[in-house]
Amino acid sequence: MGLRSHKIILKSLREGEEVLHNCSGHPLMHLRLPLLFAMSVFLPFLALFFLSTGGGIDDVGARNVLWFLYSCYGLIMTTYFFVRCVNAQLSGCVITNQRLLRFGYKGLSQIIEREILPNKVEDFKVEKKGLLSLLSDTAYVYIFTANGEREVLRNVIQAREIQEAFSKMVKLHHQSNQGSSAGQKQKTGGEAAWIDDALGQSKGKVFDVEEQREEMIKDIGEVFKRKD
Amino acid sequence: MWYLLSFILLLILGVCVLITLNKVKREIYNPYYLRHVLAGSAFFGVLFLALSLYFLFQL
Repeated sequence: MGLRSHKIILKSLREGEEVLHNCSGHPLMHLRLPLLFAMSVFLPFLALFFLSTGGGIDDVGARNVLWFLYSCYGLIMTTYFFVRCVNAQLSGCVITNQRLLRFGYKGLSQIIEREILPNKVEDFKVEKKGLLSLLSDTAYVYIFTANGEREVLRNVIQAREIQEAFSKMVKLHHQSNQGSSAGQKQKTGGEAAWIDDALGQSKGKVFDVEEQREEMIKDIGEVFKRKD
Repeated sequence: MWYLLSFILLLILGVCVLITLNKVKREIYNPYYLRHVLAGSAFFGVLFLALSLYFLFQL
């Protein structure tokens, strides 16, 4: 088990799509919610136990009511953490050879499915921070997309593999794009011909930077002269 | 009153559990720790259900 991401079986893969990497969280991160649950159930139990055995509540009826209310509270907490744990377990991020998939659930019925295409990723940042990253090979992965949004993968294991998978995905995307544009070039007779057509009037005229600069300075000077 | 309260509570929680189980049924991949979560939740759920029913009949 250790720090190895488990094999993923995605049901919604496209034709020719294969999983390059599954971004898994550290096993300790999976313990966070169960520990919170244990704390939220165990601490009130201790308080109630010492209250009823220490003679705090003498009336049996009141004691029964308290224990009944505690059982109801336990049922509510179990259901709440069950929903949250299932949501956390069913959420994930997968890098395939075509896209980056982010999926999961929020609350009771909110479904999140997001696919990020390689050409829509502005920046990909891996940051090692926190105590867990010092003790084991975990990192925070930030994915900045073209629409200004940011996806954060917290305490994921095998950060280097994620980087490699991401660069592989971008490379494959680039190659497929080049292949398709080469095909287009053959169809249209190449980009150069198109540019030549567009710049037909300036054919033969050499662009001189110095000449342009002098003209601009002259124009600016004239503007100031008019003001005076 | 307690019976009505516990009935409403069990109804709401039951609906929540059923919706969540439905999610598990149509999961798009098989998470590693899901079985542990299901087993743990089932254990504590049955425990607290039994406790609440026991104390409900004691009231």
